[in-house]
Amino acid sequence: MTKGEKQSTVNIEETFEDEKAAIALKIAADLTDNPSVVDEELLLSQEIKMEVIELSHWYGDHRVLAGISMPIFKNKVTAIIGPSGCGKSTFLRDLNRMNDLVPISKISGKILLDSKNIYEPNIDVVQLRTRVGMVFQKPNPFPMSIEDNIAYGPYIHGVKRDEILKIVESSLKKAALWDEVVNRLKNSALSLSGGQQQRLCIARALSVEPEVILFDEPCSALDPYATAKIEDLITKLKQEYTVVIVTHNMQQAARVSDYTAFFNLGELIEFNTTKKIFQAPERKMTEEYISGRFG
Amino acid sequence: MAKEQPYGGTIRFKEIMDTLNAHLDNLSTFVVKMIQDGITALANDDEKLFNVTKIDLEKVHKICYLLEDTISSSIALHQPFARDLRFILSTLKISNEIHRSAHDAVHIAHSSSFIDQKLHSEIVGKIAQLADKASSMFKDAVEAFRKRKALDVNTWTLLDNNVDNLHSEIIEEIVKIMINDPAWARAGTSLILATRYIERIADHACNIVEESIYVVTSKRVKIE
Repeated sequence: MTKGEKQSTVNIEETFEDEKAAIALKIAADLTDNPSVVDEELLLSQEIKMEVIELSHWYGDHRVLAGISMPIFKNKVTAIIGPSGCGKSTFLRDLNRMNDLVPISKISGKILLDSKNIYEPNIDVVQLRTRVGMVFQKPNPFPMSIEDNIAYGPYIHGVKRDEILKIVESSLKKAALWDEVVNRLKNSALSLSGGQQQRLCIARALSVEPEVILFDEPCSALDPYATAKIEDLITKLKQEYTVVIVTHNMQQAARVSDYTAFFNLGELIEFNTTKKIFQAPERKMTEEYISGRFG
Repeated sequence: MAKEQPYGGTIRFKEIMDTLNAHLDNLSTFVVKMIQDGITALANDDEKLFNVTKIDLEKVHKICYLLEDTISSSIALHQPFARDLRFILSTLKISNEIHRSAHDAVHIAHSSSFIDQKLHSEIVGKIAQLADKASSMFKDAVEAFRKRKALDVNTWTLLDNNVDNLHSEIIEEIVKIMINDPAWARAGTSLILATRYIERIADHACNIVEESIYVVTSKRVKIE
């Protein structure tokens, strides 16, 4: 007698159907461990560097931001995306009070940096902008040498000459520019290519040892190769700094960021991990925007 | 001359591609082990190994899920082009081949429930030989795919023919035994199915080789 005859009640198909059902249940249970499905846990597990609470912003009577609340996680890259006029640049500039210089500008709400409201009256704005640096859309090196572009910030903050030279080198290295300019530090910064100028501006921002770096469309004036260099640089910088980037290039937000906030008409529509936003957004409006149905 | 970069794109894309490769490596290791366990279960009439292959199959499902998730991220977040795009799309296709091979391994192990190996260990030995060939082809195919190597179509056509010939030979022998000893029909049928599953694993390996050729050359070739 064969073993098969002894076990004639065993049905192969049934066995595998049961197995399939068991596996399906197991996978369903495992999904809860997967970050692409349960992002709330991932959000809660991060350390918060800045926190925006009920932020609204007006230019005169026109409200451009309406009750924005979101965290900015430490050592992560947060991208702000949305159609033109959605308030993303205004939001970015509120993070280091750049909009204070706009006379008709008015805000309500709070922005906490390490749990302290940066809009408190006793806050030193110059000190704040040292901690929260900014890199702009168009490279804007000072009309001076490469070295002096970096040295200028530390110099006005009273850093000694010997120390400044070290800062110049370390900042250029962090900005992945040192090898390209080490033999021409005294040359004019304006002789550099667009991509190099932008990395010089990043090095300049790094020279005053910020904790947060704000990037306002940092690659919009650059070619794809220079863009890739800046994107890789941002990935490296997040190991030491917290990064917030505003971009109308959704692909760039997808490539470089860990978290993405989608703004529309001054409102925060959705904030989540970049993976979740670009693969399975929760809000219909986000889905329509990222898939190019509007904006 | 600078060493050729395996992938284009940003640091983050390279990281995601490394993850993809690691998942493929994991999958291949699991499936090769499952094939070996399946054959051992068949040869030694070991039902415990059948249960081990079932547990491994769950792990394969999980890794396949992670692989698909990684593929989805790589496309949605990094917009790959050219060879990188071909590699990612082909990875999705070969994950199906790997997944099916894992199921075949479980079916092989399950055949042990119906076989009395004392009667025809010689046949089981030949099946083990067939499984060695198929398992080795599978391992080499995934390895070549991961390393983006285009293997030689003629060599692989020969390997596939060898497996097909051995498969036919084994079936002939089993049929002869079944004709002479009808009581062995059930066991014989299970062995025929087991050899068929093994032969299919070799077919999956050939499909993977076809994909690796496509990734490297962007040309579609068929191993007949």
